[in-house]
Amino acid sequence: MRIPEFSLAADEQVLLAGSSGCGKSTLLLLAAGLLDAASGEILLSGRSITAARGGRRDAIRADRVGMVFQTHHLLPGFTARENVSAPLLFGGVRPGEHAAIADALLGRLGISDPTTRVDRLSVGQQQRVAIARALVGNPSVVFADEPTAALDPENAVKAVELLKDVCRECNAALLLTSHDPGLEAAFSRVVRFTELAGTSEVVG
Amino acid sequence: MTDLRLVLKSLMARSASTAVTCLLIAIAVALLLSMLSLREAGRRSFTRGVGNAHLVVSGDSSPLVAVLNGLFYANAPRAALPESKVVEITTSFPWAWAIPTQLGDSFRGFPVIATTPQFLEDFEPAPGEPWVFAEGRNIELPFEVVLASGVAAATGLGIGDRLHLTHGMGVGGAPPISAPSVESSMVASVPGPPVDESLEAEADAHDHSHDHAHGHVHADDGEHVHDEVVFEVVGVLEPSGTHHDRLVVTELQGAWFIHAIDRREVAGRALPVSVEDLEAGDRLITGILLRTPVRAGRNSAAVLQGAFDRLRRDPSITVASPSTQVDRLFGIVASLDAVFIALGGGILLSGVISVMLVLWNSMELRRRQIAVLRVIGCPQRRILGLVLTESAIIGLVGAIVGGLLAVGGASLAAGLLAMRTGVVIAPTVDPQATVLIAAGTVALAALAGVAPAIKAYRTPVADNLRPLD
Repeated sequence: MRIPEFSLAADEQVLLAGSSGCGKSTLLLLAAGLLDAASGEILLSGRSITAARGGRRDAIRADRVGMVFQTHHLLPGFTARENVSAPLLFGGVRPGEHAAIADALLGRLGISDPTTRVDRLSVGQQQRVAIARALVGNPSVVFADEPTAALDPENAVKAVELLKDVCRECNAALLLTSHDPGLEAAFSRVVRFTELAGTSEVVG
Repeated sequence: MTDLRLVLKSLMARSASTAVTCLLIAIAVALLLSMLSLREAGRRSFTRGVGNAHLVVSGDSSPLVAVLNGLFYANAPRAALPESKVVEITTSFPWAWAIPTQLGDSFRGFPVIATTPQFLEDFEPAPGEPWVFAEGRNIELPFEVVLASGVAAATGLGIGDRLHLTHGMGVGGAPPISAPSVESSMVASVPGPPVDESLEAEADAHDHSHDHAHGHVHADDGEHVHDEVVFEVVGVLEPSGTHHDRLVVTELQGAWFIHAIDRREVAGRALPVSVEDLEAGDRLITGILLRTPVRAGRNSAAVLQGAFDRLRRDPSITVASPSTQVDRLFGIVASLDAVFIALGGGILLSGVISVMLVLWNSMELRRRQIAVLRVIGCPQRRILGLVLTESAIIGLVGAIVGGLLAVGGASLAAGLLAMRTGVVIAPTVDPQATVLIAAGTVALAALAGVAPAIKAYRTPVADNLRPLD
């Protein structure tokens, strides 16, 4: 894909709409520094994640990016607290503070018992844990890749509203991808991937 | 959350494979440590079990066999020596002491040593540690026995109990002592006290047949119970912590008497009535324990060497230095030791390879977890470190469990060895060897984690974040 320019303002919440397989997820992975761009530059709060390599790129991601996935990708066998604490381990926060930070965030998201193993939580609770994990490091942006794909329309809207609220509270921008037109009403700015493609071209 | 907690949780999430891998390592470490421990304990036990005897004289074919039979009661000596040889040897040199012994009988599988009271007075089962009586007294008269602690504990016999001795060294024991024919016209009768009925019945129950023609109860091939004579327990010894704790000590003349009955029965001659009827041909021994005098300011080694050289000139006897023969024995089995240790090392290596395989396979199953860790900011190098820590922890747990197994296993093996062979060993796990083996195991296990760690390091993130089907 070739995207000449795409920007997301601080605190902005944007829906990136498009059909499955069009390249939305790839764009998020590029923006998070998990894929290498062939050319060009991606800036996160003024820092180039494309120019950074290895550990420095990982550090930028740990510091500025939170990610939420359709299937949550929680660490199996770990408790909700441990899942939420994990990013703090790589973000330079002292281990003694992890539990308090994680518990506070989980509490705000309605998880009353942070010591429960995530595989014993309901799907909705797992999603809240995943959201908490994305936001625990005070990122400047949250990339949510089809977070509602497995939910019914009613719960999908609820999940998106929750995500939006929490991101707003945490002063994090939100870029959420979805192929569900039902979510468009929830966002003030909707960007269609085909529109991006209109000023760009998908190659390969 | 810490790196260590992350690793431990990850290991616990795969508890079954983690446990099996740790167990493999533990078994290997335990085997290795047990072998080292038993080897050292065996060496110590043999060295200690020589007691304070400087020389052993016997009619055996080699010095090593003389020591194994005469001091470690491995078998009945094949040839006997006349009492006159004791007189000759004891008067030929100013020994600190010289104790004649006769081996060849047993009681319920425990070796019987027929000797003089001096055996329990001057001979020390371990250097510097003389015999101590738990109860009763030393042998004084024929047909009296003193039980070492192991025999008393195993049989439950105590002061005043009566028993029969068995000709031969117990199950699988050696054939009777060969001896020149004897002549006597005396009539046999039973000189010892009457036998306890329950013990006699028990002895019968252990026997295979009853040879009425000879008046003996046969205990095994070439063995029979000396049921013509009853022996009485007059003393019980405290444990010495050596193989001597399996001994039944009896007075020499009583043993001569029961063997005189055997020989004369076979020859169709009149049986002896009492020890006064014994002839020179009945007075046979199988060995002499000797100690040279040790005096301050005198070269004891030179004295011992002189005595040794003097005795060696006599072609009718074999003379042996127990400590030299024990060293020789360990020299012989040293290569076998090396084989066992190499086997233990091989088992450890196979355990380490299994760690590598288990981790390698787990990396295949954990690609998504590794990708998630990368997403939340874990650097590639740290992934490498986490996997190496996992493998090192498996090695550490295996080494610790292996160490504990080794302590238990060595004690069990020592118990079995003592029960079956009478060799008493006190296995101790050498702290230095343990630390070295544990450190080596952890290092090897960590090394085994290198390939899986590199695999984890190279796990493509984007490919493993696709939604699950």
